Amino acid sequence: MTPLIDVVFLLIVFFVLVSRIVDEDRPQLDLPSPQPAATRVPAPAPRATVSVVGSPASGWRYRVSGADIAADEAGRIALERHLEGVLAHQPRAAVQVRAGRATPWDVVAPVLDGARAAARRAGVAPVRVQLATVRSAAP
Amino acid sequence: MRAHATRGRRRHGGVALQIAPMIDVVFLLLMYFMVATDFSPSEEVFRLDLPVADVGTANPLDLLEEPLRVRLSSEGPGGGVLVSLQGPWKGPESIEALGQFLASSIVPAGSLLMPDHPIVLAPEPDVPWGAVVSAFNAAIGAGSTNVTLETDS
Repeated sequence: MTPLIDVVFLLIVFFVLVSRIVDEDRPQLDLPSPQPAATRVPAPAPRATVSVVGSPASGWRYRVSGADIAADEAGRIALERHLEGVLAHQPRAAVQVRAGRATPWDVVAPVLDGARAAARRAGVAPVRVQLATVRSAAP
Repeated sequence: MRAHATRGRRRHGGVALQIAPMIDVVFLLLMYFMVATDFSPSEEVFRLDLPVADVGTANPLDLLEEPLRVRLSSEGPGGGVLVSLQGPWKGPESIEALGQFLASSIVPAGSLLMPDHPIVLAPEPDVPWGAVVSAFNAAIGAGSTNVTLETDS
């Protein structure tokens, strides 16, 4: 019995670790936490996550599927292509936008534009967008 | 056989604990709970359905519903966000006031707007994302079900 429990525990730990590594597409960001939040917990649906990383000093980048795309004109086209590929494959996928609270709007807006343009090309309407926030501790 | 089975409890005349297997199990439990505990705060989302505009297929009846445009600029007092409503009413100037204004205007608390009346947030380029989300949250929290963000295109 005891060796069986040992093995089962090891398997549980292994799978928990692996599922975390798979979730590493979500870099740590200072997400907005509005009060009192009218947000909701996202349904476990397919989604394409776009994280806006960087800083005013080092430049802004969009992180999708572990790859960084520069937030310039070429990067916006690449982002749109990526989202189009996801939406053409999974029409019900949501585009989740993760950006720190200090990110200026003109860096985040192209993600929404890209999602809209990608949905138009992929024949999906309307495109589901999720704005990621963080649930802060109760004050 | 009997001597072997009772050797542990006879050594000091009492009950002897098997330390090593217990440490094994305790270590495993410790590792399991440390790995399973999610230290990062839980993330939640706003849902935003962006309309995909198709040129030439607009229903003219849809145009009757003029959206409430809310401009956000970063020229508020103390570097905060200045809110300005586009419309005939003297509107709120902060995000908190925007939330109160919408809560008192949207049916059933008010009578000015229906819950699905389109509200369009139009931030200026330098407005921080946190403020945009706060304004979005204020509108959703006030009962609106149709809030969108205006992008340039």
